[in-house]
Order: sequence, then structure tokens, then C-alpha cells
Amino acid sequence: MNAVQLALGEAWSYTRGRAVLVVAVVILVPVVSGLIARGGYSLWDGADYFSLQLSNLVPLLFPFLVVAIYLPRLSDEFANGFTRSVRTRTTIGTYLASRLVAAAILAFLTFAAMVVVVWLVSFVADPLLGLNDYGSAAPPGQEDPIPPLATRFTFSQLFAYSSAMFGVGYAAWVGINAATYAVLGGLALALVENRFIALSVPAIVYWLGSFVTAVLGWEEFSPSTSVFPFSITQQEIWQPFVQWGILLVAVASAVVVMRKREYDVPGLG
Amino acid sequence: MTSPAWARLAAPYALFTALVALHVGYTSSQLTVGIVAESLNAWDVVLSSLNGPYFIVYVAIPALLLANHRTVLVAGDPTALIRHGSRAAAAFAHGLAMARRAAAGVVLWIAISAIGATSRGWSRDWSAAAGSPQNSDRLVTHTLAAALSPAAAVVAQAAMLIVSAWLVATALAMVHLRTDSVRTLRWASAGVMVAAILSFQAGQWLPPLLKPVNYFYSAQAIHDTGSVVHYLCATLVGGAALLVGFRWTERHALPAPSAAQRRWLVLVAILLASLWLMVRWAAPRTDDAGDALAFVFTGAGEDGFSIVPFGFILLVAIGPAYVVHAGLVDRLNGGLYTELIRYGSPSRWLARRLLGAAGASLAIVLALLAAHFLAFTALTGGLGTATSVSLGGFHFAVNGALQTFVYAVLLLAVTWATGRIGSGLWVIGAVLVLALPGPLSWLLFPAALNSMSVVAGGAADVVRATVVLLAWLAAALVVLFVAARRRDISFE
Repeated sequence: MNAVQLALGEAWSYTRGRAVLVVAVVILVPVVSGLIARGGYSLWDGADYFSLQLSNLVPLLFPFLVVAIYLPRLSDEFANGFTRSVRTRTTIGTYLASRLVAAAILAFLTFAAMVVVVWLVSFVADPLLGLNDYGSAAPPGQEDPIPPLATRFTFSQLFAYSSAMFGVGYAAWVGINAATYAVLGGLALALVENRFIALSVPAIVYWLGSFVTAVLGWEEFSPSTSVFPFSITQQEIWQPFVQWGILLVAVASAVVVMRKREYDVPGLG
Repeated sequence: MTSPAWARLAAPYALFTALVALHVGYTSSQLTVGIVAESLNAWDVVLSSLNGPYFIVYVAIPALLLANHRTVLVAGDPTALIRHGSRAAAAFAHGLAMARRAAAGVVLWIAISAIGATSRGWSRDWSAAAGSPQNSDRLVTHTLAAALSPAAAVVAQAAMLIVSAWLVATALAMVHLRTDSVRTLRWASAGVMVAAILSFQAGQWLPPLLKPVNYFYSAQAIHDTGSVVHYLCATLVGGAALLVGFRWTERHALPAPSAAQRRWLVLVAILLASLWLMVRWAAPRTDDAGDALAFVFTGAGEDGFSIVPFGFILLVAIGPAYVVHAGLVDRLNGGLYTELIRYGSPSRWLARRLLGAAGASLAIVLALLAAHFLAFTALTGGLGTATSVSLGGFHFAVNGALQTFVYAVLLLAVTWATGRIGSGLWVIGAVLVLALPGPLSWLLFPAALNSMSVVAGGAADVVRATVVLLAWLAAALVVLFVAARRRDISFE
């Protein structure tokens, strides 16, 4: 079996187990936090409600939730000496690739599903159920301050095509980032002996990166606002890809280091 | 087939020459379009070329680091150590050798710049440039050039480049000879590179002594004749202190820092750098050190809630607990049973570790408090009236240390209770959420209670924060010691 087949099998078997609970929590976090927070805001429309749901808890907890989906299981496998026994059945490279692909698939699907659910709540369920009273907060007679959808925040440019296009495009973007952070965490587990530090690598990259870019005044390239761009003005679509590119470079560097050491790394035992 | 020695030696210089030529061409073209081009002379062009920060940061420093990396490995050779008699002497000799190479590079640089300048037909009327009334408005402003001569400014700039190369090469040689690790050397070289880029790109936030790039390009220092002396003296004193310190640790056979000690060093460096940025931001807003402390640790900027102060107070509160916990995880993962045999029971072992964590929490908070006042004094020339230091200082020191310690205990308690190494991350995640302004206003959770916004509520809120933290500490200790009675102490 190749790495992809192994990864699909692993992802499927894991999803039937404990991960279902984690996935449910991840998907519910924005919806529940949005329901709690909406009372304190005057919302313009569904897009505003969409951004509210993804503005509070989700950006804060994003790297922790990414890690929680699959990496604890991977950490257990590495720590329990499973990698030693697996070498008799397949190469360590294939095994590791399958686990990283499984982590990426699960993180992608979970976070893409999270955004799709938030989109459904904002643009389908809300109009049907009438959860929110939308409208301008400006006094009557004054100019309507509601900006057009397509200029609201980064990726809202996709509204120019359709609301569904925005939902799908943005879900894919969040999913891709989640997958990349998950792979980064998986590689850190292999490369770093201390598992607590390894598991916190995605959070450190995300939070320290956000702090440093904010200090330098480069918020448009911040890891947090690149994934959840609701706290800054609309940027060009290419700008969030800068931080993702940096993440990819980090992932590629980790892979190169591991291959150079012929997988003789502290985390794999 | 290997290339001959002369080719190996000449190739880097040829590459460097080509890059300098490109740089000089670019600088000349920029000067040509400048508004004062007609009053520039050859020395101005040379000085402009030698001052070019982009060239220094993105070409000269990487070239120095690459050359250093190739030669420093030889300095660690056993025969070199025997020849020099000590690691300190070997590092010093390596630094001098690199300074000689840097001097050759700088001479080459000046020569190419001079050729470039004269070939473009620039005026050679140096006195006109030095006495020019537009001197302060010129593209290349340098008081030293006006006060003495443009040639003196070029010599000063060249000296700074060479001395800086010596300092960096010596420091990196010490790192290599002390740790005997190529990987550490790479990280240290990368650190120099990052510091240079940051000091150039975000130089306004850094103190002069932390601006390595300013040792290389004197664009700012050269404004003031005294600054040149200041920079050079600081560099020389810093280098001498480095050598003395290195020699001392070598004589006393102090071991190279462990992984845990290195983590502390990194954390302290991050905290001090962040503190400096925050104090720099706060200092212009008040003339009172106590108020500045409140600004720095409030958690909300003047534009409302911002990630920078929020991130900073969490860094201060969670950072030490994170490093403490990482050190404990090292012990939990390997050799725990050996330690338990020595201490007799998990509870005794935990008590010993927690005492260390409490000491570390207090030490780091007090060090930050002292660093705050030092930084404020350095920036403003005094502490001001410091009227609000007493309550704020008490809150910062006591509640700050207490909060950091509570986090360390919570991380360990949750890890021990669940038996899962990664579960400590959930504590950090929860702290992040509970530190948001909404939950913080309730003063119920052990999150962001070191924020100086608590001081705004008066002594009652400060005491309440202390009580809340003590209650959480008690609860976490109970959970931890109950969990420690469990016989199974394997951690997944």
C-alpha cells in the first residue's frame, strides 16, 4: 500500500473513534460563540454574522484545535514505540507520510466543514429562522454606512461571483491552513524530543508570528489575520498567501532535515 | 577534481566585487536623481556606498556570516586549540583573522566606489561639500564629514565595519567553541542575520546597543561625532566583556547550557526585547514610570484592544510557566523513576520541582520589573514622579509571580491528572480565552490578573486578584497531589 492509501485508511479508522467528538466541538465552537456574542452587536447582514462567528474564539483557539484533532494520537504512536514495529512492514518514510497526510486530511475536512456550517448558519438557516435583526446602526436619514459585501474583508471579493463561491473558497482557505499547521505539528513531533514543545509548535508559530507581525506593523501578513481576516481592512487576495508560503517553507525545511538525517530523529524513537 | 586553492580564495572575492559594483552603480544612479546631486563629490559617493543599509544587511552581513562559518570550524580544530592555548585565545585569533578579511573587503569596496564615483565625473571639491549650507538636507548627511572632512567620515565608517566584523566573528567563534555544535553555530548566525534585518527594518524600536546594523552602517551615528566614538567604544567594551566572560567560564570549567537553560535564555531574550518595545511605546505617553508600567501591562492600547499588549502580558504570564513545564516534561519522559527513587515519593519530587517553579516565577517577574524601570530611565532620563508605583509595583510583583506560578502548577496538575503530555496545551488555550477583556472583568479566573488594568479598580481589586489566584493555586495543588498518589505514573 502506498502512503495515500494508508493515510485514507488511518483517517477513516480514526474518524470513527474519538475524533468525532473533537470534530463536533471544533464545528460547534464558532456557532455557539456566535449565538452568545450576537446580542452585543448591531449586525448589518449575514456576512457580518458570518464574520462575528469566526472572530472571537476561533482565531484564538485555532492552533490548539488543529493540534487536538489528530496529533495526540500521532504523539502516542511515536511515544509507544509503534514506529519501531512498523519498520518491519513498511518504510519509515511511507509510514510518516501516511500519518502526515492523514493529519492534513482530517484537519482540512474539519475546518472546511466548520466554515461551511458557519456559512449555512449565516446565509441559509438565519434567513429562514430569523435569528438576527439586521440593519444599519446609523440614525434615520443619515447615509447608509453598510459597505458593499465585496469590499468588506479579505476573500469577500468572492461575493462578486456568488455567496456560495465565497463559502467554498473561504472554507478551502481555512482548511488548507489547518492542514498545513497539522503537518507542521506532526513534523515537530518527529523532530523534537519533548512532546509538549512539539505539540505546541503550531501555536507558537501562530501566536508568536501574530505578535511579531503586529509589533512590526505588518498585520496584513499576520498568521491570525491571514486565516481569519475579519479584524483588518480588506487586503489583496494574494497577501494572506504570504504567511501560508512561509508555513510551506517551514514544512519543507523540516522534511529536508528529516530526510537528511534518514529519519533518525529524536521523536520517532 | 577539486579546484585549486587560489580559485577557492578568489571566487568569493570575485563575487563580492561584482555585488559591490552593482551596489555602487545603483547608489550612483540614486544620487544622480537626488535633488542635491550637483553639490555631491567623490567622497560623498564613497560614503553613500559604504553607508548603504540594504547592501550591508542583505549582502555584507550574509557574506561575513558565510565566510565566518567556513573558517570558524577550523578555529575549533584541536591543533588550533593547542596552538592558541585556550578557547578564548582561539576565538580572539579567529575574530582578528575575520577582521583582516573584512578590512580587505572594505578596502575593495571603497576602491570600487571611488572608481565608480570618479568615472561618473563627480566634482572633487571636497571642501565645498563639507561647508555646504545644504549639508543637513543632503541625501548623505554626516556631521562628521562637515566637522572634520568627508575622508574622516569614510575612515570612521570603514573602522566601524571592520570592528563590527571582529565582534560578530569573535562572538560566533565563542559560541562554536563553547558548545562544540555546528547546529548551534548555525542558529547563532541566523540570529545575527535576523537581528540585523530587524534592526534595519524596525530600527526605531531598538536601543542603540541592540542595533547590530548600526555598527555596520553609520548613517545615524555619523550625524553626531560623539556617537561614532560612542558606538566604537561600546563595541570594543562589549567585545572585551565577551572575551573576559568567555575566558572566565572556560577557566572555571562551567558546562555548556543544557536544553532547559537554553530555553530560559531564549525566553528571557524574548521578554526583554518585547519589554523594550512596550516601554518605548509607553514612554512618550507619560513622564511617570509607574504610569508607564500600567501602560505596558494593561492589555489594551490607546486604540482599544490590541493583540500587541494582549500578547505581551500573556507572554510574560505564560512564558515562564511554559518553560518550567517543558523542563518538567523532559523529566516526565525519561528518568522519572530514577528521580522518584531519590526523592522517595512523587509528592516530595513535585514539592521540590514546584519550589523551583515558584522561585523562577518570582525571579522573572522581579527581573522584568527592574528591567522596566531601567528601560524607562534610559529612555526618559529618570523615573519621573512615580506616584503610582507602590500599588502597581505590588500588583505586578505579587500577582504577576503568583499568576505565573499558578499556570505552572495548573499545567502540571492537568498533565498529571490526565496522564497526557499534550493536555497542558488546553490550559494555555483556556487561559487565552479567559484573558479576553470580557471574562477578565469578572476577576474570577487565573487569567490576565497580572494585567495592570486590575490596578484601575483600586486596592480592593488588587487584593481580590491575589485571593482569586491563591484559591486557584490551592485547587491546582490539591488536584496535583491527589493525582500524584496514583500508582500509575506513565504519561502518554
